[in-house]
Order: sequence, then C-alpha cells, then structure tokens
Amino acid sequence: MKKLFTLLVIVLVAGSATAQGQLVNSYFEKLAGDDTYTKVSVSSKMFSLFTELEAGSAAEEEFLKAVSKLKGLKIIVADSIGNAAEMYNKAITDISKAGYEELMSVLDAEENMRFSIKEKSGKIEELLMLVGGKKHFILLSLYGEIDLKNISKIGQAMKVEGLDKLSKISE
Amino acid sequence: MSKLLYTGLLVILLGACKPSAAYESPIKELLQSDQVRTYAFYPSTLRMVNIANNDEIDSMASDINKLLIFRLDSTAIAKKKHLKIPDQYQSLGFEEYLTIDGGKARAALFGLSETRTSTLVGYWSATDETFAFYINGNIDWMKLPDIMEAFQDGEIANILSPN
Repeated sequence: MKKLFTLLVIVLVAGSATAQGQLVNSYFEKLAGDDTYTKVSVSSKMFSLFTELEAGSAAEEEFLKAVSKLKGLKIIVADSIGNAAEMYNKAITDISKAGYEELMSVLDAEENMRFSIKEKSGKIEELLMLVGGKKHFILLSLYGEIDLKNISKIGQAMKVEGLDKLSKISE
Repeated sequence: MSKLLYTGLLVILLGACKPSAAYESPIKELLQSDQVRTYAFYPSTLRMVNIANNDEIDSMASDINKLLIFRLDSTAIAKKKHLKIPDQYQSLGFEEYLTIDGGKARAALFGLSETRTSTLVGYWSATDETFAFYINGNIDWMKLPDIMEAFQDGEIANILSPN
C-alpha cells in the first residue's frame, strides 16, 4: 500500500513538472526544421548558475534569488512571415484551451501582445508572452517559480530578443 | 587492509577528478584540421584584445584559464562536425545550457561546473561564419551579456574577422 502511494506521488510530481512549458514545447516540435522561426531554449542549469554568484546589494540578491528559481526559458521568434496574424490567433486559442489565465493585453495598430500565466497554490509557475505583428511573431515561455517584480530586470539582464518586451508588465 | 582501502579510495577519487584539460581533447580531435583556424587565449592575451581597457573584461579574463576559438571555413562548415559537439560532450557529463535553432543563427552551449572551475563548449553559426569554442576557468556569468555587448561595440579587438 505504502509503495503504491509513493508511486502515485512520484507520478503526480513528474506530471506537474512536465506540464510546465508544455504549450511552447508543442510549438517547438511543430516548428522543428522550419528555419523561418528561431527557437531559443535556456535550461534550468543555466539559471541555477546564478545561485553561485555573490550579490553586491540587497536588490541584486533579490534579483539573483528570483533568477535561480527559474526552471527554463523557451522562445520562438519569426521576423518576417506572411501568416503572423494567423499564428497569433491560433496561439491565442491554444493558450485559452491549455488553461492559462490572461494577465495583461496590449493592442495597437502595429502589434498585439498578450501575457498569460499559469498559477499553482498562489504561485506563478509559468509566464507566457505572445506577440503578433504584421509580419512578426513571438511566443515566449518562462517557467519555474516566477516573481513578477523582477521580471523586467530578468529581461534586461539576459539581452535576448523578445525578452525586452517583458518590461511592459512592470509598466 | 585499511591501507589498501585508502589506496583504493584515493585511486577512485583521483579517477573522478578528471583534469579539466582533458575536456579540451574531444573538441580538438573533432575540429582541428586544415579547414579550421584555432585561436588560443590565456588571461594575458585576453587583456591584450581588450582595446578599450574595459575593467569588467580584465577582471573576467584574469579568472579564465584558457579560451579556444575554432573558426571553420566553408569546407569545414559543410562537413557539419561542429554539430557533433553536443552529443560528444553530453556523453562526458556536460549539461545543456542554451540552444538556438532556426532563423539566422544556430548555437549551442554546454557546460560542466566543478568545484572551482567551469568548462563551457559550444558553437555559434550565423549566415556566413561558424565558430566553435572551449572555455575553462572561473566564469562570471553576470558579466557575459556585457562582454558580448562590448564585443559588438568594438571594445574588444575582433581578431577573428579582421576585415
């Protein structure tokens, strides 16, 4: 009985861990081999390296702590595609179907942007950013334990295309 | 008997503490050829290419034991040997840090962190240039984005593509 319980716990924990980043992973698989899209993947190992750094101030310490709790980052970017609007609308539908909650939307003539989150026990475990322009498309997934206060700083520090748009959350 | 046990333990521990230099060989064996130009940098040579005397670069350079950059020509790029780096190093216990695929660039960064030093290997491939690299030392991760920016701004002499 005890063994069965342990096994069940392992299955549940493994299930919840793989659920993070599932939507963006499905896009990675779908777009594998398509060179019109750039796919960037940053592993948890990269983020864990920040725990080894010494902070110079309290703010820096808070930032490093926030970064070290991240488990991964995946970005899909296309700069010049003919079906950007179609991709954006499809992603909106997929995000809603996958149970993400909308956090914020920015709509203008040039581009639409939507931030969505997945929460568990009051903690944000995934942040999705979707950007759709006339010709460009970005889908970004940041997962792990996410602190929205530090999100724009993370975006600035990593200097990765697309991440700069995370500053919209703090605005 | 206890002497034998200690000797056995020592042999096992020494075996586990593979010298970092050993990780240089696989990338060299994979890439070194007439079609690949190899550049080796040490702290002193890294400071020399810091033409703007950027303090951040100097302090980072002093903690790096060795940096190898392999510049592949078109024949070497066509052979795609650099794409074998991830598999080769994963079999040595290296972990994936970053991958970029599709679009204008393709890149991979794999690393192994030991007590005091880290070893990084990977490649960067853009439209017409492909580089592979090996870095061993105490790498200050916080400074890497700034150093990449300094390189783009020309604060570091680009001796790899002098034109």
